[in-house]
Amino acid sequence: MGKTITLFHTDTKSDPLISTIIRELKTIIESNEYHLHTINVSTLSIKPCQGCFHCWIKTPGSCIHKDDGNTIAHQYITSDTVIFLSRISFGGYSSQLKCAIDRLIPLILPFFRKYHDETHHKKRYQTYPNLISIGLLKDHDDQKEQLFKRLLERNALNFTPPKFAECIITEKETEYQQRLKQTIQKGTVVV
Amino acid sequence: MSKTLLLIVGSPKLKRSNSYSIAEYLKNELIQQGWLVEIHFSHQAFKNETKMNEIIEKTKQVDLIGIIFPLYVDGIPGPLIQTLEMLTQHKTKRTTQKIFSIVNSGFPEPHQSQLAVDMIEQFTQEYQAHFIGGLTIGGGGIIGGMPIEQIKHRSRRLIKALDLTIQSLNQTQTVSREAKQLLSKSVFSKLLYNTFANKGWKMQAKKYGSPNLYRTPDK
Repeated sequence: MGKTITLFHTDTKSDPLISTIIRELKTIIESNEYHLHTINVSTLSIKPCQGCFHCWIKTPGSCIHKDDGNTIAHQYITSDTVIFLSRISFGGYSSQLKCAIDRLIPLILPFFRKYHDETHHKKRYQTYPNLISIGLLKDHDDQKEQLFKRLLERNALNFTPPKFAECIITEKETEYQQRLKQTIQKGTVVV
Repeated sequence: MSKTLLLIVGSPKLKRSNSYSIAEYLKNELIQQGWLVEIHFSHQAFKNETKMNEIIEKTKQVDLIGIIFPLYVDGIPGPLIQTLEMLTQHKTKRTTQKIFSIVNSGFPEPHQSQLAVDMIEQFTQEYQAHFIGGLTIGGGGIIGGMPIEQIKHRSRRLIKALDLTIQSLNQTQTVSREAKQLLSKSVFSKLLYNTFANKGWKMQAKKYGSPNLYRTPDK
């Protein structure tokens, strides 16, 4: 069976550009021996993380909320590559996607370790998926784009993907397909 | 300028959170200086139109807005982002309002929260207000959800930084540079903090029967 790439994305009905990007990603990814699994987080039942730390000390590795948050975490850690796709909000992911990402905390241990001269959480699992972040903007905005890139770099320190890459696409762009393909290439093993 | 402040706390633990401890400390001290201060929780506005509208209306009525929250996956907690998204959607024109941020994190290095502060600055630009600065607190776990008055002995540096912040907000509606400097290092010994943190999780797990903390249910 080919490798699995899981795409977590936000609502497509209210944002046609999300649908367009998903179609492009399917074309790029499924032309090889990769399986693209898409998850629309806006259709899921995901309570916000309540900061109880039970996923670290009471039910280690699992959230106590019995909702799709555990599905998100399971799908994340069992994928070869994960793609996050959303509008950029204040330089980061939109609230819809971020609420889902906040529920990935069970995937790491509560214990600290020194990594890249900083304190980070120890890994719960031996291997983590590659990570690709795709952010959408109405127009080019250097500040927002820099924040988005920094976010992925920080996430990479905590979720330790073997490879990671980001791509920012604006509404007016018509020739982003090659950049998107290069991003998938950079963030996975082979495309 | 009237002295009105809205503190938006972005922690899911509401009044049991470190963010609320900080907000309450600021509120209690500034009230004594003649300020009108209210605290609201973004998590209570999540998927709650009534509460969200209440926060939106409150933000229009104040001179100063403080956004106080814990670092969540290197950024702003999802429900707080939703509140900020709604605020920008309802903002129509540039104002003289000022916004500051305080981000606390369980990591001892305060710089790990700088990105989150910079995101609040980005929000402020979209909200068409003035960003007056942000503070990052490393080792925030020592607050333990307690009132700041009760943990003063744990970190003099944290208390001094908060007091300087209160002073600068009151006198000049700015965030104290000296407070930022004080908070540029962890508020607690990094070595001790990491040691106690690692042991602390195991101790907390005992009340749940000491489950295998290294469990890997998904693989």
